[in-house]
Amino acid sequence: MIRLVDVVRYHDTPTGLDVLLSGITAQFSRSDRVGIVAGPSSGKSTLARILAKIERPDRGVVQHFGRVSWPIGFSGGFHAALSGADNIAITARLMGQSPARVIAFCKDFTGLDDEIDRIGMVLPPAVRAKLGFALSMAIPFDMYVSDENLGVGDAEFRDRCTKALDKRLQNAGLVFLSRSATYVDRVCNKFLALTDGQLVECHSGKQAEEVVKAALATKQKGRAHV
Amino acid sequence: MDRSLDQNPILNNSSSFFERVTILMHREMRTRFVGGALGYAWAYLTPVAWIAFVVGAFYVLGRVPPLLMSPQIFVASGILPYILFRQTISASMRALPSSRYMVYFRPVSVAEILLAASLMELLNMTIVSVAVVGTIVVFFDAPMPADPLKALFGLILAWWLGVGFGRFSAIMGRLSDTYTRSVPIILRPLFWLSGVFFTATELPASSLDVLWYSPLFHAIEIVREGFFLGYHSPLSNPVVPFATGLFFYAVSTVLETYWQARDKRRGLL
Repeated sequence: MIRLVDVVRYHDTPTGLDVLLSGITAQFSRSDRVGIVAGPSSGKSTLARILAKIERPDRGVVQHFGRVSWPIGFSGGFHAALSGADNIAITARLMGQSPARVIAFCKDFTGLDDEIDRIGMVLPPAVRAKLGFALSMAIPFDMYVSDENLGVGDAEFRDRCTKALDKRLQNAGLVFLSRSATYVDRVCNKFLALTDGQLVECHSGKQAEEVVKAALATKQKGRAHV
Repeated sequence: MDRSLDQNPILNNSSSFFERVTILMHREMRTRFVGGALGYAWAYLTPVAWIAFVVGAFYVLGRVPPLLMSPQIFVASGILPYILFRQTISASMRALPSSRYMVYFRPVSVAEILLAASLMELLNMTIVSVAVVGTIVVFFDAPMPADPLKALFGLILAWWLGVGFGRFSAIMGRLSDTYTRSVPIILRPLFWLSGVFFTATELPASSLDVLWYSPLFHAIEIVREGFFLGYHSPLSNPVVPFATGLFFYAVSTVLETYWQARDKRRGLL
C-alpha cells in the first residue's frame, strides 16, 4: 500500500513557484488498479517518483507498506560499460533477489540470448527498453508504479508486457499515470484526474481526461485574459 | 515466461546496508577502468608509477632522505597516504554523477554510493600499500615498518580526511561546476605542503606554525612514526585530520539537504 498525506511539491520557475501537488492525501492499496490521468507538465512524472519514494515531497508524508516498484520499465540505472546481464544482476542483488533467476527471467521474457551479454553501450535503445521492462517484471512488488509505460517494443512484445503485468497484478496493486484515457480505461478499476495539484475522483478514464482538459482550457482562458 | 512468474519467489527483506555498499563497490570496480587492455590493473599501476616517478626524481635531484632511510621507503611513507587521500576525493566526486540513477533502486542512497566509492579506494590502496612496502622491503633491503598499526592508523586518518573532503566536494560539485574545476587547483599545493618530500623535523619553527594547519601533514607524519623506529614528529596530532574530516563530513550532510531541496525545486531530479 502507498499512502500520501498532505503531499506538496513545487518547482521554482523564472515566473515564480509552480505548484505541482498541493496537499494531496490519498491511499492506494494492493487490490487497486488506479489510473491517474494528467495533462502535460502537470507533475505526472514527479508524482510517479514521489510515489516510488525516489523523490521527497516539499511537505507531507509518503508511506510504503510492502514493496513498491520503481517506475515500470526504468532502464536509466544500466551502466553503458556493463553487459545487460551484469546490469540486471546488480539490480537483482540490490533488491535482494537471486541474480541467476532474474537474468533467466529477463532472457526468457525478452527472447534475447547471447545479446544480453553485450555491453550496454552497444545495445540498441529498443533492447535496453525491453530489458528495463523485463527487469521490472522479474522482481515481484506489492505495488507497481507506472509513468506512461505499460509495454515497450512492437505489438507482439507489448502484448507480452501486458500479460506479464496482468499476472503480477494478481498479487499486487498498480498506480498508472498517463496522459491517455484509453490505456487507463483498459487497465484500471479506479480513476483519478491530476489537475491543479489535486487528485479528483472520476468514474472512468475518459471522464478524468475531460476533467483535465476542462482545467487546461480554464487555465488557458485565464492566461489569455491576462 | 509464465512459469517463472508463477513461481513468485518469496521476497527477502531487500538487501542490507552492508550488502548494498558491497554491491555498489563491485559495480564501481567493474565500471571504473573499462575499455583499456589493462582494465582494473590501472587502479594499482597508477600509484605504483607515481611512487616510481618520485623516487626517480629523488635520485635525479640528489635529494637525501632525512631519516637515513632508503629513498624508496621514505617516499612510499609520504606518498601512499597522499594518494589515498587524493584518490578518495576523486572517487567520491566521480561516484555521484556516474551512479545518480542508482537511487531509483530503493533503498540505495547517496550516502551508500559515496561510502562505496570511498571504501573501494581504501581497499585498493591497502593492497597497493602492502605490495609497495613488501616490494621495497624484499628488493631494497629496507626494514619492516617499526609499528605497522601506527602506520595503518595514519593511512586510515588520511583516508578519513579524503572521505570528509571528498563527500563535501562531491556535493559541492553538484551545486557548482566552478567548484569542481577548482578542486585540483585547491589541492595541488597540498602535494608540496604535506610532507611528502620532507619531514616536520626538517622545518624551521616558523614553517611548523603554518603547516600545523595542514591536516594531511599530521596524517603523513603519523604514518612516518609508524614506519621509522624512534621517529617522533612535532606535527602528528591525530585529532587534526580526524576533526577536519569530521567537519567536512558534517558540512556535506547539510549541503546534501540543500542540494536535494534546490534540485527538487528546479525540477531537476
